[in-house]
Amino acid sequence: MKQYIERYIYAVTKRLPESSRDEVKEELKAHIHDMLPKDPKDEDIEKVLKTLGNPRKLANNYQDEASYVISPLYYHDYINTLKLVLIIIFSVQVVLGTIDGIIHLESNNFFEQVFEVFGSALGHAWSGLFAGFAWVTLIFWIIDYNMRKKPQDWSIKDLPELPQKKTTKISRASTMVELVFHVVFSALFIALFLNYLDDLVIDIDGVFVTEIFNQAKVLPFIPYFIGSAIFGLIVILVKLYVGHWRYQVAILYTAYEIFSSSIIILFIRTNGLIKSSVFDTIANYTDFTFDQVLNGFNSGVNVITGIIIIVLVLEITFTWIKTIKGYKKA
Amino acid sequence: MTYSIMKMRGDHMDQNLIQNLTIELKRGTQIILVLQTLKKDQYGYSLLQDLDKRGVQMEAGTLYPLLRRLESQGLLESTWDTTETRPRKYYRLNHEGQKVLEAMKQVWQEIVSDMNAMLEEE
Repeated sequence: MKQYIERYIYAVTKRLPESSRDEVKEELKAHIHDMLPKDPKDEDIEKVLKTLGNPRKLANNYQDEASYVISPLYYHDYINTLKLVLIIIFSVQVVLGTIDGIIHLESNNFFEQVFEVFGSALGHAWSGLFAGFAWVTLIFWIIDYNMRKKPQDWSIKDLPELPQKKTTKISRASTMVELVFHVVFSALFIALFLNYLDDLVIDIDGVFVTEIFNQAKVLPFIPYFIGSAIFGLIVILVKLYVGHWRYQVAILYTAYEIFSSSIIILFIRTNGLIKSSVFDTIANYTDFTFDQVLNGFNSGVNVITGIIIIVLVLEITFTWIKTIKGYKKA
Repeated sequence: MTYSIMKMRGDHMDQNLIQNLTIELKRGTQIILVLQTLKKDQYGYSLLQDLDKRGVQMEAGTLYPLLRRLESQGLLESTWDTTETRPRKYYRLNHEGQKVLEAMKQVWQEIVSDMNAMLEEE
């Protein structure tokens, strides 16, 4: 199928309003044939069409005014709004998706459950982001379309307030990754201790030996775990919202880090958290005595406590260095 | 209407920038020349060649839509000549178009004298 001229003209006119299509078609046909020699070959036709340029561009030249979904005048407002809305939707959907995932768990295997919950969180986030994109675009399209026809009146009172001092930025992307992991893992951690404590047992050759955790010692911690998870979520949302390491953000973050680390340390150092029958079993199956196993466990706990404290101190130090640096630069 | 100015300037100058600025500058003047050339009957391609002879390099993809716009603005009259094998659309400045052309010529003279006066000051 050749008919290059007809196809070229069609490529132009299909991008024009219907009312002008027929006229432009006739005009273009006349223009093109005037530019061609008698009995034109394909090369001649190609040369002329190339001279006329990309049909998309030619069609654009035929338009009296540029057409937009979002015009350049509103583009930056649109992008900024879109970013903010998508971040909020993402945060809310991850939380809702995680809760939904936990409520509707189907698998009995812990690792599959992790995947289920992750899948649910990300699935909710994904569909939420699409819906958010569609709505913001639609609303801006309508606003833009209506405002284009009005004169752009403005008053000095409408000018935006000057932004506060610029401090060190908090990366939105990594905070959102943090949000996903925080929500999913806190939810799983709490769900594990609430629902599956009875399943955390030592079986030897399929024979039940002992439970690992002492339920009476674990349960009092659950409200604190939940509190810490919610506190952490609030801190992440504040970080997302403020977007900069301000003093208030750093103080809140420090408080959260100390609070959550303290709970973990208190938890792992609780006397009798692990049933003594666990140590018995280990002593029975190894060359160690009960005391040696217990001492080994206790020094393990001490090492972990030390690591948690070191990480905590480093984390807080770096946060404050970032924060203070930002204020000095500003 | 040649690029002799560009050639006179040293090679160290950013040729691209000068070329872009020249195109920008000429853009507004082209329409006056198109109107001027349309004092007699022209069809699209003859107009393009006529302009080319006068050293006005205008792309066909710009000129043809421009003709349509000038017509819809009521500055041109057009007739289809169907006596030849191929129909041809002829354009010509109408009364309104001539008034606009005269006004634009006036404006152009003022711009030229203002610009010259300003540029000679230094």
